[in-house]
Amino acid sequence: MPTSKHFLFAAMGLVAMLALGVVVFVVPTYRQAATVRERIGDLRARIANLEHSTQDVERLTAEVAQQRLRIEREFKIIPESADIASLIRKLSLPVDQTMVRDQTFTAGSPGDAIPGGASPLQAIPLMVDMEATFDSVFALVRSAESVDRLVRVSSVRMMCKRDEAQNDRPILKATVSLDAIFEPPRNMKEQ
Amino acid sequence: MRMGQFIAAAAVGVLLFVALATHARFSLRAAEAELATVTVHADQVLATEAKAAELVRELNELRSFSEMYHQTALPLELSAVMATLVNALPESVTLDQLDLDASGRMVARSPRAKDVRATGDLPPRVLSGQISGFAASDQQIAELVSRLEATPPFRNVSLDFSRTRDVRKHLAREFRLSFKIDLETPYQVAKAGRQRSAALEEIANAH
Repeated sequence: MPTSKHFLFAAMGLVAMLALGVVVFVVPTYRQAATVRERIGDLRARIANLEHSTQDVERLTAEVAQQRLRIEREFKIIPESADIASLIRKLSLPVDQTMVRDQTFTAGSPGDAIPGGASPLQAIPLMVDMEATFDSVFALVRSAESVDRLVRVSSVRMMCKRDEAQNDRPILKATVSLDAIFEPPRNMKEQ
Repeated sequence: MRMGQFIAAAAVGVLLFVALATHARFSLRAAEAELATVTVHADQVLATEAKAAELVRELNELRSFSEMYHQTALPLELSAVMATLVNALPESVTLDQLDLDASGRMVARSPRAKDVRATGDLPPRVLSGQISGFAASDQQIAELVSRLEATPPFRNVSLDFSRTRDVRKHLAREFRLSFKIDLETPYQVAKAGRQRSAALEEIANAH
């Protein structure tokens, strides 16, 4: 016949087993569930931001498209090489002794397009010395400004010698300084 | 009797344990299922954030290119400046020299400007212009100065000198004037009232 002592031991054993079961199975499961809920909370907070992020992406996409369009429309091409020969071909006027008496193109050596070398762009100076009418000099400046690539007209000097001037179409001595801007590939610039 | 009570208590204890364990398991499964659903949306968030970062990088590149382009290119065309100058000439004014130099930079000698230079910032670009010629009278030269002063972007228009000169046995006033144009602001050179071609014809025929 079991005594009170036996019942007490049995009850203690049962309680101990139940407590062990709770510690081994139940508590870790709840802890795991709590961790998962924490992660859910974090993800939900980010999802709540999704609308904002989506709006950001839409705004940025529009801004990028706008910038690209602006660059495409308003900016001129910056080639990888100066290609002075092709520029001279575009600018050269026929020397007809009436409108243009003489023209000389002199190219310089490449240098930084912005003083200080802050930009990767390079510039080759091209000097055009002309003996021509005002219209012809003006046409040369216009055509330098109208080419599809970036050419900077850095100076225009023209002078009319009155003694040499003809009455109908005075011939001016003009010097137009241009900068042919180009962006050499990075590895070429390093060399 | 005592045995029956003990068995009942043990059964209740075991049942409570089973209920608790089952609840914990269900709770975990529900949380995991929810996490799976939320993760699908979260992937979208991560993709959106990555896309936003990529777009910001692209936009910064475009902006820096744009800034570099504006620092390199001139904000106005020299031909437009020439046309505006010629259009601004009063009737009797004839030019025999024109000098436009857009390669210069504003030279300031103030201590503040020196500080700016020390930081590596380049001084602002400026176009320096000088024209010389002759006119029938000083009034015509003054008229040219006033017209240029009133025409943006010309500024600091100053008459360097005006003196008598003999032009084909006629007395005329020879002059030289200078001006500056700030090249750090984008401009649209205003066309004066007269047509450029007419003015060009005039400069050509004046000789």
